[in-house]
Amino acid sequence: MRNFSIVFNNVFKEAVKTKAYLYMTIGLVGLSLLLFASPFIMKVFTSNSPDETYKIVNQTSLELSEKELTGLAGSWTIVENANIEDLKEDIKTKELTGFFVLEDQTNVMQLNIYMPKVNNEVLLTLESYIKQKKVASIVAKQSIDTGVVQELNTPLQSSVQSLYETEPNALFIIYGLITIMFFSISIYGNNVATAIASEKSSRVMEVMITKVAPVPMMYGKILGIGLASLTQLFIFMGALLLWANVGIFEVPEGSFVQAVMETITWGTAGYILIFCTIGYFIYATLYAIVGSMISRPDDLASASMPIMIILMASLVVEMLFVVDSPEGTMTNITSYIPFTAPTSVLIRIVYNTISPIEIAVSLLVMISFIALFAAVAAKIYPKGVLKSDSLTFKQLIQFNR
Amino acid sequence: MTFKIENLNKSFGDKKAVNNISIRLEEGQILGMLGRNGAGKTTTIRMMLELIPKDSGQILWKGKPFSKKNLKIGYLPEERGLYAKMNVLDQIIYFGMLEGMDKKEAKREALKWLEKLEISYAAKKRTEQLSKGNQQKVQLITAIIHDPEFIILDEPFSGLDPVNADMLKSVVKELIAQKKTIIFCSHQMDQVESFCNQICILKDGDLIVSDQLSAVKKSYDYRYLELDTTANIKDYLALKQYKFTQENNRYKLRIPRNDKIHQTIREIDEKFDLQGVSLKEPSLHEIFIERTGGA
Repeated sequence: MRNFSIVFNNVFKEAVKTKAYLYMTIGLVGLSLLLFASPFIMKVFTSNSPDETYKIVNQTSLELSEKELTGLAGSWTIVENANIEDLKEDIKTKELTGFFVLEDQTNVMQLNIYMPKVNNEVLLTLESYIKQKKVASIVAKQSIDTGVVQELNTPLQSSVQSLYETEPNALFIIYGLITIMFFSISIYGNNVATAIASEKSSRVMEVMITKVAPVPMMYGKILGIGLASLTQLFIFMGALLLWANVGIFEVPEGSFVQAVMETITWGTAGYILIFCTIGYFIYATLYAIVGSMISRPDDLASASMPIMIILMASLVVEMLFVVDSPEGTMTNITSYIPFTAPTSVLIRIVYNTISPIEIAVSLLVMISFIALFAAVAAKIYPKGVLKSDSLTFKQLIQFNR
Repeated sequence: MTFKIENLNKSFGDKKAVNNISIRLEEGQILGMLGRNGAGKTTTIRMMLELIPKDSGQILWKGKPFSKKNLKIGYLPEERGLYAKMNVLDQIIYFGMLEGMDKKEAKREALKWLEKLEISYAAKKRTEQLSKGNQQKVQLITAIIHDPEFIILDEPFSGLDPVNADMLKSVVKELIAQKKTIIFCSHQMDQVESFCNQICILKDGDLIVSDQLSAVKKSYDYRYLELDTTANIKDYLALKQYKFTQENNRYKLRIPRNDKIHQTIREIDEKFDLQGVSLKEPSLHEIFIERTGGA
């Protein structure tokens, strides 16, 4: 037990000291910052710059106001006549961002648009403004009550409602969780296998194995790297909580960020940590077996292919069957298959379509499988680490008899 | 006897890797374990270290199973291995702690050894930044930092320059002086001869020699008489049917152990002017080649 804790501490310390870990942690904090700043960034990039200049050639009787339009988007000039070719030249020389020709045709009003790249926001604003002016003109001519006009113009309120007892934007959160789960399992699982394979190829294993029994050594590695991964997840979630609470970012109503804040409660965050940890353990044990089977880290990519296939297959199943149907049969089944259960159960927790008993049963299944994989790993690992060449599949079977 | 290997056996499939070997060693003695590649040395060591299970037989230390539970063991494997990215001091402390030392004690001993082997400047460097010779010094420190009673040194001086080799040899001599029990594996016979008072030779899993080095040498029915002379004595030696070799002014005669050596020397000295005479036992190198069928 003492040596296990020494290995565990050392593996954790060495893992968090690496530059890759530091950069990834900084990257995750940056990602959390980007997530919260995204509404602001989107606003900056989508809003019209005051430098944008537009011209309207108004050949109708409608009274348009430069001031009113400038208040809506960019800077506007209204003229009654102009040479179209000259204005086109102005666009080429960047003196104008775009121009519009408003003319009366038989029974209709025509708006001709001249923009190198159509800005839908400006166009919608202009169309809405012209329509408003046209209605106002008709109202004035026909002496219609302005109250009636206002009632007619009242916009329709629409709101997307979720089929489940959760935030309608939960789908994005689900995709986010699947991504975190997939990347953390593949990156940290790979780290376990790489650490073991490196020890074998550098022959340090020959020394280590005389000091620590193989099984505590294996668990020291799995848990040490696992704790480093959890620390990173904690830092990421802590950063999200920090940005949510410091109030330096404006969180618009109905935005993705608001959805994250409403969906990721303390309870959900706890479940995320539990299931990410369990998911990691299921795969990390398999990665430890693979690491002990190969003779050098270069062989890891090919040797870990079966695990990657299982991981990819579970990802595809989650994306195709579980995300869109959190109450479906496939979702129920995958909640009890150890390779898919961590993600399936998490999705059902976010959608609120799983009972506490089902969560407990799924946890029991996953823990049982971890114990089974650990027992298999405990048989293979000590034999594998002492072999300087790679283990064959036949030897693998022999070790488990 | 303090250390005993009794009727030890190990097979891998149909191949008998270690065949019923028995070795005995007193506390404070140093045993040279020799054998060609694949003779069974590493398998024997691995069984001693409980890395692989033995098929039968027993390994004992003072009557109890030879195990980390009953004594402190130091092991310097032939295949060197250190964590390349870890700094030197942390690495030695880590290995010391895994051998039961507390952190403070491990650090104190690590610094002491680093200074002794003149690599204190590298304490905070990553191991991969050190030369091969200095890495070997670190490797030796990790094997002995916890002051083991029993030490297994597998090719401790291979790949070292003469200065570093001498430095590590002085450490081994110090360990011998401290009455540590040592198993010394090497293909460099001169080193085994200079350090070991007992040898064993393994061949294809069989123990073909196991005794005090002097007894092994004396068990041979011949020895060597070295004669230094400027005279040409080749014809005389051939006439007398001696087996001999010549190197410059030195003639090396292989003579039967029961030969009346004083009479031989007197006869030659009467006819030729001998400047020097010495009597040599067969070298370990020669014994090894003769017993194992090649180096």
